[in-house]
Amino acid sequence: MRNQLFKSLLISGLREKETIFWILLFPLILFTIMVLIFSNMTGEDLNFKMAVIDHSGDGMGSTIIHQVFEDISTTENPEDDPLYSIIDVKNKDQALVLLKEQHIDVIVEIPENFNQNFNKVVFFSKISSISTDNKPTIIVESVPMRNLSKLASDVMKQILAEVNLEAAKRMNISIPDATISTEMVGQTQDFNYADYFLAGILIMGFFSTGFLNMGINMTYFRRKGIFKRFACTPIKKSKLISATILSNLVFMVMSFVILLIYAKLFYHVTWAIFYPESILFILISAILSLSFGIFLGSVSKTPNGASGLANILFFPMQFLGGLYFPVFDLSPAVRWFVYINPITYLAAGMRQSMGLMDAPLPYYTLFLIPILWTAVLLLISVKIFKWDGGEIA
Amino acid sequence: MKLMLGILKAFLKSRIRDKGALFWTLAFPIMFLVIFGLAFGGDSSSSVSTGAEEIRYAIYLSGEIDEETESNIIKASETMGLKPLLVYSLSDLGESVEKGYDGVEFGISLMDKEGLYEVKAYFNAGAMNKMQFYQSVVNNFVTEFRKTTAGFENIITVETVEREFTEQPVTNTGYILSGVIAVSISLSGIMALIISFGYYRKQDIIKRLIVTPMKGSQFLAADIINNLLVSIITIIIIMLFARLLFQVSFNINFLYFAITYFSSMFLMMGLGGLFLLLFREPNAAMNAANIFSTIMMFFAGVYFPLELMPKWLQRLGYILPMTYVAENIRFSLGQDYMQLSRFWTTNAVFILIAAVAIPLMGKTIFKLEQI
Amino acid sequence: MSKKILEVKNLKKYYPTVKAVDDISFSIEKGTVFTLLGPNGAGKTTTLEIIEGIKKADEGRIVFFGEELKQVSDEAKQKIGVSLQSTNFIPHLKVKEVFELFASFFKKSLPIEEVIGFVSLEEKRNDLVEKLSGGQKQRVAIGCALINDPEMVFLDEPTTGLDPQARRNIWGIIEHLKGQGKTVFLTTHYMEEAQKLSDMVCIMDYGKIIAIDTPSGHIKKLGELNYVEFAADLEQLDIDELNAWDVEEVEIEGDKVIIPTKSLHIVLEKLLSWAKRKELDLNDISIRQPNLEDVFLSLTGRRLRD
Repeated sequence: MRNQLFKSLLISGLREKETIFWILLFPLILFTIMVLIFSNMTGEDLNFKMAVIDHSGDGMGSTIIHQVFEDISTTENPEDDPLYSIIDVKNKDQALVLLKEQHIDVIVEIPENFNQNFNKVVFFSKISSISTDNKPTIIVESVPMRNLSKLASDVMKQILAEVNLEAAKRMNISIPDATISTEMVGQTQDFNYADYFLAGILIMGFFSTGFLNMGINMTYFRRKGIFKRFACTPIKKSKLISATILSNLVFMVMSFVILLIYAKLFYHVTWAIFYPESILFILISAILSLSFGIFLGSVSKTPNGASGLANILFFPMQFLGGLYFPVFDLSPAVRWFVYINPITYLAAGMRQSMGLMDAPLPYYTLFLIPILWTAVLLLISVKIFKWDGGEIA
Repeated sequence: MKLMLGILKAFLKSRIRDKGALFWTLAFPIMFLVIFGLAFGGDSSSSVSTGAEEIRYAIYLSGEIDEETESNIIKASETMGLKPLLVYSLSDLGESVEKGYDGVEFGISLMDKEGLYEVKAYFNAGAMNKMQFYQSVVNNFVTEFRKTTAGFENIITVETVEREFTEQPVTNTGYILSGVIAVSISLSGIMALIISFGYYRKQDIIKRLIVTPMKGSQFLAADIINNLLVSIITIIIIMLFARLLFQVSFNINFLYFAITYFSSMFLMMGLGGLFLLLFREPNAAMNAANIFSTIMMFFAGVYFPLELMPKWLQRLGYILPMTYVAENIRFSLGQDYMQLSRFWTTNAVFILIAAVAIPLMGKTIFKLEQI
Repeated sequence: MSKKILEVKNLKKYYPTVKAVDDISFSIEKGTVFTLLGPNGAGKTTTLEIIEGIKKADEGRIVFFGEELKQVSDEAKQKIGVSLQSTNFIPHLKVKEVFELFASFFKKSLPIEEVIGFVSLEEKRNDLVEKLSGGQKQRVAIGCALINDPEMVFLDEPTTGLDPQARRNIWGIIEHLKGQGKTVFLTTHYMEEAQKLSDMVCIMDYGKIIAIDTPSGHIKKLGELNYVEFAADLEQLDIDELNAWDVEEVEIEGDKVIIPTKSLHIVLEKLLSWAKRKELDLNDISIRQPNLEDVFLSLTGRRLRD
C-alpha cells in the first residue's frame, strides 16, 4: 500500500519555507562561514597596518631594521597585500591617534639612542657584558584587546627575533642550525577545516530537523487535533509514527546530501564521512536527533512552547558540543555541560572516525553516551506522550 | 494624550505577555551571554595568550645529547615561560600530547645531528584553535634554544607596550556583553513593527482602531514607545545579570549610550517595517527578519571577530547594520574606543533610514486598511 | 423497518473535577439524523469522542453495527466518517491532497472528485487548505468524513462559528446525506439546527441526558403552549400583574417580555386592554409556537445560549 501519509508529511514540510531554510540552506551558509573563518586564521590573508617612528637618524642598526621592514611590506605580486603595510606618520602622537582610531594595528618605535647602542654592542663590547639597559631596543605598541593588533604585535616580535639571528650571523657568531617540522597527534588523515566542519555542520543539520521540525510539528499536530482526527480512521498508530519518523529522516538525508554535494564541489572535502565508523556515527546522530524530536513533541503542550524549549536546548548543545570549535579546553564552569552533552560525543566520534582528530574520551563513551541519551529520551517520551490533550491510551 | 496612554498600556501588557518575543529579546541574549561568558570569559584573553602562565610541554631528546644541551633547553624554556617535562621515548611523547598528561599542551622531539638540530613539534589535532599559537611558541623556543646554545644574547631587544584606550580595563566578558546587547536591540527592534503592524493588521486590530478617534500616528507612536520601554528594561536586566554573574564593570557614557540605543532601535524597527512592506504576510516577514538577524549575528563580529574573517566577508560585515550597532554599543559602554565622527555619522545614517522607513511603513499599512 | 446502528448504555466518563458524561444511554437507528443538543460543556463532544474511539469511557457499553465494543475497532472505523470540532489539517496541503491522504487510510474510498463535488469545492481543489474560508474549511473536514463512503457520519458542531450562508450550505450537505440513507450523528448548540435537521434530538446538560425525542415530540411535551412576545418600557410594567393571568412564568429578556400561555385568546385580550388602560405601547408584538430553546428552558430553567 502506498504511503500517502508519509508523502503528505513530506510535501507539507517541503512547502514550509522555514523548514527549507533552516534544514537545507542554513547548513550551507554556516559551513561556508566556518570554513572561511578558520581557514583564514592560518594567517595567509593577513594584512597588518603599521606605523614606524624612527628617532634614531642614520646608522647601521636602523638601516638593518628598515631593510627588514621593506621586505615585509612588499610583495612580488603588487596586487597582493603585504604582511605589513607601512602607514606614514609625522610623529608619535599622530601614530597613537591612528592606533586609537583603529587605522593602524601596531606602532614600532626606534628610539633615539638605538644606533648608538647598536654600535656599542656590535663593535665595542663583548655582548654578554652589556647590561640590558644599554642594549638597542625597539618598542612595539599594540592594543591587546583587538585581535588584529595583538596578532600584529606577536608576529612583529617573531620577526625581530629573526633579525637577531641574522645579525649574529653577520657578526660571525656561529649559531647552530635547526630544522622544524610538525606532526599532528591523533590524526590519521591530513587535517582540513572543510572536513572538520562537514562533520560538525552535518550533525547541526540533523539536530535542526529533530529539534526545529519534528518536535514542533508533533506538538502542532496534537494541539490542532490532527492526531485526534487520524485516530478516528483505521490508520495504525505505528504507521503514523513511522511516517513521521520517515519523513524527518528524509529531511536529514536531504540536508546531508545537499551539504555534501556543496562541500564536495566548492571545498573538496574527502570521502572520510563514508568510512564505516563515520556512517555509524551519522546513524546514531540521526536516531538521537529523532529521539529529541519525539521528546520535545511529548513534553511540550503548545508549538510555541516546543519552539522555546527547542531553542533553549539546542543553542547551548550546539555551541558547547564541539560542532564549531573545540570544547575540551573550555573553562570548568561550562565543561560539565560539555561532558553531559551528547552532541560532544557524536562530534568527537565522527571526527575521530574520519581520522581528523582523536577524541580525548574513552572510545566506548562515544557510542554509549548518545545511546544512553536516546534510551532515556525515548523512555520518558513513551511515558508521557499523548495523542490528544485528553487521555487516549 | 489620554488615548495614547491607553493604547500604550495595552501594548505594554501585550508585549510583556508575548513569551515568544521575550524569549528572543531576553532569554536568548542571556543564554548567549552565559554560554560565551563562561566559555571564553575570564580576564586573560583565551586562545592567543602569550603565556602569563607557564605552558607545559613534553620533550624527547635523542642523538648526541649531553648535559649542556639539557641545561640549555631548561634555560631557553625558562626564558620563554615554558616548563619542559622530559620523556624517554617517542611513543611516550605522542601519548603525553594526545592525552595531555600532567597538563602537557604540546610536544617537542629534538635530535642532535652533529650540531644540526632536528626539531619535530607534536600537536594534538584536537587543539586546532590553539595550533597557530603553539606553532609560534615552538618557533620562538627553537630560536631561543639556538641562541642559548651559542651563548648569544639578543642584540636588539623588544619592548612591548600594551595600550588600552578605554578608562576601564576591558574584559572578554564585557566585550561579549556588548555584542549581546547589540543582538537584543536588533532582535527587539526588528520584530517590533512586524508584531504590531503585521499580526495586528492580520487580526483586524488596526481596522478596529481606525474606527476610533485614534490617529494612525498616535498608534505608531504608542507602539514605538512601547518597544523602546520594553527593550530598555530587557537591556537593564541583561546588564544586571552580567554584573551579578561575571562582575562585568561598566563605564557607561550615558549620552552616547542613549543615542546609540535610540538610533539603533529606530533603525531596526525601520528594517522590520521594510520587511513587512516587502512581505505583507506577517509570518513571512517574521521569518525573513529572523533569517536576516541570524546572518547578521554571524557576520557582524558578534560571534566571531570580524577582522579575522577573509577580506570579502569583512566587506559583507560592513554593510550589515548590526556591525555598527555592536561597535557603537561597545564604544558607549566603554569597551572600545571609536572616532567620534564615525559614531555620529553611523547614528545619523541610522536615524535617516528609520525616518524614511517607519513613516513609509505606517502610511502604507494604514492605507491598505482603508482601501 | 428500522435497525439500530449504535447503542450506548450507561456510558460514564469522570474527570477529577467534573462528570463529563454521567451515565447516559441512547440508541440510533439506521438512516436517521441523531442530534446531541446542549450548551457548551454539556458533555456532547466527550460522548462523541468516546464513540469515535478517541477517548476511553470509564464505564458503559457501546454496541456498534451489532457488535459490542469496548472501543471502536479498526473494522468499525472503516465504516464511519468523522468531522471533529477543530478543523485543522497537516499544514501546506492542498484540498485535493488532503482528500487523497484521508482516502489512503481506508480500504475502500470514493473517487476524490466525487467528494470534492459533493462538498462543492471544485474550484478550490488546488488551493492550500489554510487559505480557505471557515465555511470552506468545514466542508473540507466534512469531505474527509465522507471519503470512505461511511455508513455513519459523526459531525461535531459542524456549523459553529460559520455565517448563515455557510451554515445553510452545511445543512444542505447533511440533508443530502440523509437522502442517501446515511446515519448522521450530529452535535450542536443551535436549536434551530437540531430542529431543522434531526429525526431524534437528545438534550444533554451537565453530562446527563435530560430528554430524548423527535423534535416535535419534545415540543408536544410542553403542551399547547404559545408564546406572546412584545417589547415595552419595563419601568412602567409590573410583572406580578401579568403572572396573575392564566400563564406560565413570564420572562423578561432585554426589553422583551415573553408570556408562555396555554390560553392564548384570553391572554391576548387581557393584554391589549391592560395596555390600553395603562397607556402602554406594545412594540413588536408577536405570537409564536414553542421551539427546542423553550424545551431546554423548561427542562433546565436556563437558556441554551447562556
